[in-house]
Amino acid sequence: MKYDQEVVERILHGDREEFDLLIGRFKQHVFKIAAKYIPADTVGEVAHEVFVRVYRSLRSFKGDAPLEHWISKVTVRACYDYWRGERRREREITLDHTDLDIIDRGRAISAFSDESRRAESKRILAWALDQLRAEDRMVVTLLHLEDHSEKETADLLGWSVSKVKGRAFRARRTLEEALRNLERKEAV
Amino acid sequence: MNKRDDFDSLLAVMREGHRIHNTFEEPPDWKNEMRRRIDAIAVQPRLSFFPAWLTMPEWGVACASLLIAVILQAYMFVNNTRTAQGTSDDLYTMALQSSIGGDSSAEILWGEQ
Repeated sequence: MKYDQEVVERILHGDREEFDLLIGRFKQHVFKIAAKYIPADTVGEVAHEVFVRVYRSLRSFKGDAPLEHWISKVTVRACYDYWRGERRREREITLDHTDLDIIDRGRAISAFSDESRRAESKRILAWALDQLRAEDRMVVTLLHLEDHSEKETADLLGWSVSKVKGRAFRARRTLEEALRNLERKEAV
Repeated sequence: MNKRDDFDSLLAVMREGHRIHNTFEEPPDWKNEMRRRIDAIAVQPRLSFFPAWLTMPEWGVACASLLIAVILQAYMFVNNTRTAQGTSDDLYTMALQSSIGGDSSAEILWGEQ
């Protein structure tokens, strides 16, 4: 951490080379995190935004946690901002009775062993997340898909634990409702 | 299926989908674009006339408040002195008039005569 603090000090004193080294050191980490939350074709752009934010807010880095952790937070929040800014998707994902069958057998993981089923599950994931607002989407991804605790999720997003709990509850209700609507539509 | 089963099943599928990570390959010009953006916002190191801590917003506000307070105090001090001066001048005039009033008393006296 002392090393991180020294790096930050040098950058703050105008050492641009040091910031290039920092980018080199953390870019794969940023790409990896961003790829979990946003579409692959937008990762590069959001990663640019992350490093611009890091550069602008280096002064606020206190050095009480590793730089990597601090950059992770900046990345998660940039992904959240991406979804907040994202308007309705141009191509709406629709599911049919085949997808409902897959969901019905959802807990039998062996059902996804072959490649085509895995692709289906990816499509269902995209559909489900598209039903949610930006904040609910981030909470579901962090809590249920990335297995972070409520406290960790709150820390990464800069929210309170009660806000995370509230959003998680709302997300669950939304997904249940979306699933019911889908079932009703397919039954007709 | 009840509601709970519905959600748990959907979640299981979502987790499976999430395990298939998006693959991202760094575009060849990513680094150059990054450098260009940082260069655009990079601030040259300050030629420090003021110490760095003084340029922090909270210190700036504190110093500005202090300066305003000093100016106000100085203004009030000067103004009070002037008023006090004015008051003493007025008293002097009154005393003078009073002494003139003595004249007028004398006039009355002369008049009486």
